[in-house]
Amino acid sequence: MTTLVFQSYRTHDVPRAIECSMASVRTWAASRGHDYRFLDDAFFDVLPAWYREKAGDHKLLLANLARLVVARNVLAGSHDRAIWIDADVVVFDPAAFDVVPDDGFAFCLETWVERVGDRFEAVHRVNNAVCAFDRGNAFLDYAIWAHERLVRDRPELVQRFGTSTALLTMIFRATPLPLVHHVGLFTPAIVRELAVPGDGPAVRELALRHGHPMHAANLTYSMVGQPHNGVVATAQDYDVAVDRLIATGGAALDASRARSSDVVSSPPSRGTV
Amino acid sequence: MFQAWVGRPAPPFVERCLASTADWARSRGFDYRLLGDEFLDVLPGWYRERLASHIVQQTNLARMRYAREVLAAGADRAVWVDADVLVYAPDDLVLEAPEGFALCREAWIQPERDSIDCIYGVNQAVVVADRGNPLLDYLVWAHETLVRDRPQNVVPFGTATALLAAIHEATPLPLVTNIAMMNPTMLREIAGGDAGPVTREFVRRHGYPTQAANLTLSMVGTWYAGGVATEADYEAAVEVLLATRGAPLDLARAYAPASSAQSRGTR
Repeated sequence: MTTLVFQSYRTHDVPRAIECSMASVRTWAASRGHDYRFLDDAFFDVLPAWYREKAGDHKLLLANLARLVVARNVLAGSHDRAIWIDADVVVFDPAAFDVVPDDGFAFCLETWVERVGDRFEAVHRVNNAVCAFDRGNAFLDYAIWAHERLVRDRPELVQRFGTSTALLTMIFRATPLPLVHHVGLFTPAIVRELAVPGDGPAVRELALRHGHPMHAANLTYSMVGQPHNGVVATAQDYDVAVDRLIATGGAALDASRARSSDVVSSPPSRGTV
Repeated sequence: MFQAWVGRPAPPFVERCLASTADWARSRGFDYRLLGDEFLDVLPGWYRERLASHIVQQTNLARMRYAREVLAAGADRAVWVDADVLVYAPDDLVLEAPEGFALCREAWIQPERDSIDCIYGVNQAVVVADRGNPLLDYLVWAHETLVRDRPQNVVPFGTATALLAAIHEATPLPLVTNIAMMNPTMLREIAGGDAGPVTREFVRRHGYPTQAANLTLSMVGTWYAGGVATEADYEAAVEVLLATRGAPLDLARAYAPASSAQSRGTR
């Protein structure tokens, strides 16, 4: 089976955390014998003009559909499998990380851990930070159609993550989509905790609540410098967090280690899984 | 265009429904197939095993898989219509699928003690699928994975109406809007000669002209909203709908002041 891993990002002013993350993906892909392709903003050229017009400069909406269309184009070529990985996903345990779409395709389980008062809440959803498609899979054409239809016919439902996380999570509730389980999802609070010595409560909570070993992490770099739930993670915080994850193989996210610590008592998780 | 009737002999009113659809299909120049028990041969063995006694669930997937086979064999379009759908205005019935695929809009009228509720959903009493459409493969997969991986979610209509409603909520599925969804109360009203209050409320809530109706065969003889529609009621309703070309379900009449003729249908 021939596999292509593809990513996209701008080619100027690339933050160090992104460079390190993409390098980790390239290294992982090479170690698995996968082909690798980086796409600059030409990535968006595959989109229909009307979609680009409606989505405007909303890069996330553009990228949500573009990864699907590029995957379809890849599968129409010589590759049997196409794997998209967001530029801000760092693979910190490449020997263990794998993307195997059991049913011909897969999306990504996310566990969003958020402090609410003096406790943490965990919400499970489905995102497209990592997604994989085999030739002949049953979902890709529908997913492309669904993204286009949503933007064309229900723009009022398109929120910040409206064409991916919200859509995929709703579909998952109807039918259990195959998932990649080994990618952690970071909030600024988690990034901050990883950037300072010692593992904080949000990191431990993620390790406990995610329910699967994590070998990679979605940094959510789009939140850099933005206050979120009272926390700001700077570019430097992201750099340090990435360095630490890679250096330790993500030890801070190890669930058994988290269990041995004093953990904040939290209510049961909500969401899809 | 294909339909199926599986198992026991079809009741006379179902025969009339099937004939009405077959006549309509031929009048449009479509190829037409009526399948019997062999219809279920299109299903994977494991699926039939899991849903052994539930023919409705089996036909839910079978129509999708059969449509896929028909398209793979060279048809440009596959159209499924449930055996209990009556075409009462064949000259005006058109099943449009501009997106290459269409399912069926459903307005389910629920008479309550002091009011009449309406629940909107999606069903697959009618399925239109063109070659190369983006939905059919996904829906086949969705039906199969639901039965395989979430059997606890499979309720009586769990592989169709519930599933499709959830998918429709995520993204608006293309729907045909010209198939009326009957319930036993409406059938009894129409069997009495004309639309009653529940039927008129349905027509208003449905909001689109209809040329065919899903008679909900599965509810023959079941207790519903304080009454039972018998097979004789179904027969009589079919007679009225065919004789009047669906006048009780006419949108304009539903907004007209109630006449004595309309009142007679209320019981």
